[in-house]
Amino acid sequence: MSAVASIADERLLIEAAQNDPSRFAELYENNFDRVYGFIARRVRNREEAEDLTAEVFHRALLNIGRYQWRGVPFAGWLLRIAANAVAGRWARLSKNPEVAGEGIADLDMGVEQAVERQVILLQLVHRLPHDQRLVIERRFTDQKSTREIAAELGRTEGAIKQLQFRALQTLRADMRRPS
Amino acid sequence: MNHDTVSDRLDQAIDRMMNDRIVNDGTVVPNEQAIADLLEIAGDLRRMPRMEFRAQLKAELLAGTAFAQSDAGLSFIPKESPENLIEGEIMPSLARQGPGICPVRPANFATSAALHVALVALIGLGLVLAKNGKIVLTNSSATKEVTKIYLSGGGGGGAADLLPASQGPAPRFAREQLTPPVVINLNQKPRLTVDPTLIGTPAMTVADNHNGNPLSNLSVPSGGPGARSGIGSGGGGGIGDDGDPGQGPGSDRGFGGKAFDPGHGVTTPRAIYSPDPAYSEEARKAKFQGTVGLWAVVGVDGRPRDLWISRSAGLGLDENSLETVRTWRFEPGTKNGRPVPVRMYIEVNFHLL
Repeated sequence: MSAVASIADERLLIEAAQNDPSRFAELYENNFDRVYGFIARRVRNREEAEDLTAEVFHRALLNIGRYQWRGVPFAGWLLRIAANAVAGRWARLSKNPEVAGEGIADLDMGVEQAVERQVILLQLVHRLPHDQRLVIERRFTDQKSTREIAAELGRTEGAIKQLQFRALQTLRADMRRPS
Repeated sequence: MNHDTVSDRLDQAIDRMMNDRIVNDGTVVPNEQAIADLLEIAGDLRRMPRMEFRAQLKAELLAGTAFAQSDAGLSFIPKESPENLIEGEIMPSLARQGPGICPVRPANFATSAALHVALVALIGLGLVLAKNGKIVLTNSSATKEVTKIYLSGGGGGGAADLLPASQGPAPRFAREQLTPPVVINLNQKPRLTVDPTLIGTPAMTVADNHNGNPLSNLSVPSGGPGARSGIGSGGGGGIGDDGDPGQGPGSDRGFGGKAFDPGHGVTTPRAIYSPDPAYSEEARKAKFQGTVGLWAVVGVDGRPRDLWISRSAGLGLDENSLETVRTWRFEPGTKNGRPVPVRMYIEVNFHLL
């Protein structure tokens, strides 16, 4: 029932965005994690993942008027664009077989499950307590040391390590919990 | 075993993982299973997007929605339907032939080749300009992105004269106003001389000895019919027809009015000549990286004006950004197909390799 309702809601959102592209924001919010997770699992670093994610949403916004509703989730259309963007990147790297090969190898190892895991993880990070989330973001997206984070947040290094440890424990427990 | 010890060991394992620049793929194998499990999560977390990326991209998309409607903007994005790209051809490669998956389109090949040549030339130029051999300026950048819209600025005043305000350059901007600008100075022998100022960022300097309203056509000296000092028909110690101590239509401080915001039928100007600002020697020595955010009004002639820094990076990068952005040229924004002045926010990123 809820799935049917959400598909109907999504269709309304798509129609709204087709009539007024400024309404694209909600579709963006609903699908960002999935698109980013899909791409992040197929490229080597965050910068590439962000560039390709931006490219996907720009393309989607530009072509939203041509989108035809066929009863399947909007994410499917976005992921096709994403797959094409990633394929384009591989094609550009094809002159360097070593680099291109790394990405292809990554795709072979059950990447769909890994994408799903990445999406869930992104969502779970947003649910962490504020101080734990702050430490996780500083540590892994800003790539700062616990000492640097401690100095920035005015806490002891030990406290930051504890927060990091508890955050990872919480994430692991939530990941194992059946949805 | 207490948590402190485990958290220390976990942190050390994460450090090794981060420093080795590898995702936890088995290369880093801690002895304890508990740490290994957490390290696997940590490996996945390394792929998280930056905190601000999600919001920045959303702002970019929203700023571009006017383009999506008119199909006139975002010209850097190919016009092909995404489905067509998937079913027909993937992406052409520079080498004309990929490993069996890359059909060739000559026009794209030529464009790609030209862009690569330009890129190599730019990198070469950057290497020549980099004075310190140890640090190479990649300056990736100068990414020019419209991320938000400026909504304030402007002001007005007047001297209760019968005539409209006369023409003349505006006084300089300062963070505070000790005395408002006047055209006719009635106090010829002040005990303490203070320069008149408008309130705004000091970088927006238009200093001159003869004050007036830059937008006026009247040459006979007049402070304008407004009140509370200043010049014009407003009432706030500034220059223009509204209130507050800034200049131009609108309220609050800084420059105002006479410019449109993107959206609602107004397209965003597109940069057609945008050289990268130089790294300052000071910033290079300090190995400083940062972002300068500045506002500009792009006139119908495609030239940026009324520049002011809203996000400062310091170390000379602000000045370099202002100096360079002043030389940029744009395809002006339009409203109903006609060029109009448009306010825009520009971010310049400075990175060192």
